[in-house]
Amino acid sequence: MITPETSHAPGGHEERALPGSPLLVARQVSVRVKDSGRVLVDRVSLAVAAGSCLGIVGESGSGKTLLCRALLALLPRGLAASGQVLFEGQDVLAMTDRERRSLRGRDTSLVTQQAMTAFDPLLTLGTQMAAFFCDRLGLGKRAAHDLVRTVLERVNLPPRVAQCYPHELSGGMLQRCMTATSLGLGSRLVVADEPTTALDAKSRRDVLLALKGLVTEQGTALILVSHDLGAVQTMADTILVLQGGRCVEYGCARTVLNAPRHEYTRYLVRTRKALSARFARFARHGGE
Amino acid sequence: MPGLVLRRLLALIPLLLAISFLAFCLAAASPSDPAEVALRVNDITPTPELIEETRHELGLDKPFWERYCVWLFRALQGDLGTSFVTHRPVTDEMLRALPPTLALAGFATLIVLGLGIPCAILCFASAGRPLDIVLRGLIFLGSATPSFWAGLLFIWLFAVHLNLLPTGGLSGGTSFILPALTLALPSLATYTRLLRASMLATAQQDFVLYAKAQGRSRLAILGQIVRNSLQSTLATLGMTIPKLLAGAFVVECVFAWPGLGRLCVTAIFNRDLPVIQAYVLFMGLCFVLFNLFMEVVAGLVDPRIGKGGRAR
Amino acid sequence: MRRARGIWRALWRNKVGMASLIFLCLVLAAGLFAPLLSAHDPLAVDMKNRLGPCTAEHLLGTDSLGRDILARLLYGARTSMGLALCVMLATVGIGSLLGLAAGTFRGLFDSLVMRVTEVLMSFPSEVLVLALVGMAGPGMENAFWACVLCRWPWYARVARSLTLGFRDMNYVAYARVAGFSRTHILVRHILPCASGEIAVLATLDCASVLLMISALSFLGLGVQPPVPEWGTMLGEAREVMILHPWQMLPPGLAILLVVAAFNFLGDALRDALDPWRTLPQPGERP
Repeated sequence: MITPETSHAPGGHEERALPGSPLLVARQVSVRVKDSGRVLVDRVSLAVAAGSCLGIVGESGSGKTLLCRALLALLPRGLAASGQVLFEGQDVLAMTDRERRSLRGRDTSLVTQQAMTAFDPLLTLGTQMAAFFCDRLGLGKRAAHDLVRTVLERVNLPPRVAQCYPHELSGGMLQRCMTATSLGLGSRLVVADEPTTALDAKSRRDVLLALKGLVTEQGTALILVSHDLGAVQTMADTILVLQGGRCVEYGCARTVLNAPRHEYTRYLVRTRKALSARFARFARHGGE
Repeated sequence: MPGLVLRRLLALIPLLLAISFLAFCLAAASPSDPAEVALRVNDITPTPELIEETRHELGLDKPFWERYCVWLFRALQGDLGTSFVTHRPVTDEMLRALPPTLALAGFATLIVLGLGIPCAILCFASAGRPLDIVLRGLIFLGSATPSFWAGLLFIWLFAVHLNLLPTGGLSGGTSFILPALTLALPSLATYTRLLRASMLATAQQDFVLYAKAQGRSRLAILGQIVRNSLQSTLATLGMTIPKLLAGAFVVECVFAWPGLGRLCVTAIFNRDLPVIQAYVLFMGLCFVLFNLFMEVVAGLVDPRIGKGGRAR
Repeated sequence: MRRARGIWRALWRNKVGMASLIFLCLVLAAGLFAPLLSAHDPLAVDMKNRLGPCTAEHLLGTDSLGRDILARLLYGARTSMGLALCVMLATVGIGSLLGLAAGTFRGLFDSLVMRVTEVLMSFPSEVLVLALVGMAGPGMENAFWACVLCRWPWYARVARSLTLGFRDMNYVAYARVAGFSRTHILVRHILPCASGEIAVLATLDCASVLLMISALSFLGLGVQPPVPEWGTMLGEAREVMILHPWQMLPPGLAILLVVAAFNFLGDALRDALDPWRTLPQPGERP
């Protein structure tokens, strides 16, 4: 599947692509299966600065999710990561469990793909979010619940959401609850793994707006993973294109989308354009 | 909630009727003539006249349906007939034997929960390591050991050899330990195994990953996993308790425990049909009511079922 | 049939399952060829040699009536395992036939069968067995029929739900469209699919039937004393347990091992039948 010319390492783009000092730098990160040694993510390097957004695009199975989990040192059992993931100069992969845990929540946090299963089904969202705040920010119960109300409001959710169980809310609302949690924790880096995949158009917009808020208001560094080029286009400053576990293109969003250098990126952009053109045509005809 | 319970109770009426019918049929279908049995157990040589007289006395000369209706009507008033052997009302005998059996089953349930949950958590926390393997081996042994054999071994070890505990009978708190442990053993093994598997499955779920990614403490995450696993194994736990009640007869016989099961086994040897009939009816009733109870509990515990949730 | 071969291959790879199967076959063979394996008559009473120790003549010693324990154990395998297997065959036969028929023909027959199973299943099976034995009187045959009668509903349920599940599958629908009779569909299409699930249930059930029958025999409600059966042997050993506790070991261990083997085999079969079942992997701790 991978032709020779697609496998060039992205090497030294990062300095050119990113203004300011990066918050997270990954160097030559690989993920392989422990037993068989099969390589699933191959020597990917990237960097993301505070207040900016890195978009990772690629089709299903290209290793996007695994790359994210490697960046957070949360790989499933049986997989091993190698290379360096530097969060403010400290290598996350070389840390002990305790050190990593102190990093999580306040410094790095995750917004998962499957919103419907991301919260404990037996507890209300308010309880769960407050537990995160108590745990990670050392807040008292009342202060934590107040914070829950505040952050829910900031992602445009009514306060009654705090009293709901996960099964009573829609995917988009839960997705925004996760964003609100990251907001409340004041996470400096948020990794959002396909946050909009399972959503309808309206909720998709709400979720992206909430994430955008994180970046612009809070100065959070955001890594947005998606196979939806449209979502990435509106959000990202920098784009990394993954194919078959390798980075095939990495650079400034405008450059990547307007003048893609790699065949695969060109293909992605073309399909996207064709789709929107067809959609526009459909909309025109439908309107008549 | 009360409305739901009432509806379910009404729905149970046909089932309860069917159970009572089955209990009655069992006695009616018995190959031996109850009248003859009733005479024999009292060491009276049955002559045709005597049998005829007893049949009339027991109402056996009436048609089947009439007998069933009379029996059911009396049973509803708490009259389950008289024992052929002791000539005392069966209801009294059952009520006397009930508390020891309930206590035994309750104690065994406590053992299942008190040992099973920590065991499963230990297994889960050490998954794949030696402790897990040893515990799983013990669990497997426990599920394959016949309870009567385990009971005998316990008696021999703790009562005869070490002389620590009484060999049997109901006399004080210590007499509970061995029977309850024996009774709990198979269920303990089954439940621990199930809970361990359920915890491993729960640990794979997204909310665990999410909690981990936000840096919640190990203990808090373990708590979430345990809660969720207990929740999903609640139905099995609900099935365990009536099984303990029913399986008690073997253990009761081994430990000479004055409970329902031993009463029934004694009645079988004596061909004391009314007692056996009452036992069946009683156990069926317990089982059905318990299932209903567990359904209500499940509704209360799980916000996803019924109207138990606080929100809405 | 390709499916059957695949299952066999998966089972072959499961070492514990295969070992259990071989062990069970060996025990069964030992029971069948008991006269060749032991020179002693399991019923021959020898009052001079009561409760004898292990010797070359009596490898496991003699019991309270001077009978050779090894011989009784071997002949007991015949009774215990034979009974368990017969109960299993009878139950599976009656249960799955009724269930398949109920699922295929539906209607009045279906609801009748289902109501009966509902009533029977509202009792714990132990109670029902005890009640049936109680009404019919103690004895081997009664214990046998009691076990069969109270276990068939489980198979009927499984077979019926599988039948209903498979009924709506495409290939069964094609067969109907193609004009095959219901019986033909039942035998050729649904039965092979349902058989796997039933096999797992039956194997695990063998263990519980063996436990049930030996418990009844132990209490004197099942197989009656002179006949060698593991539960009966344990019941006899109980009489002398204070002074000769080791008498309890051979029959108890025999029951334990056979039940464990059935359980292992059942688990292995389940895994072999359903390789895509998401097994909880060891690992992934908080």
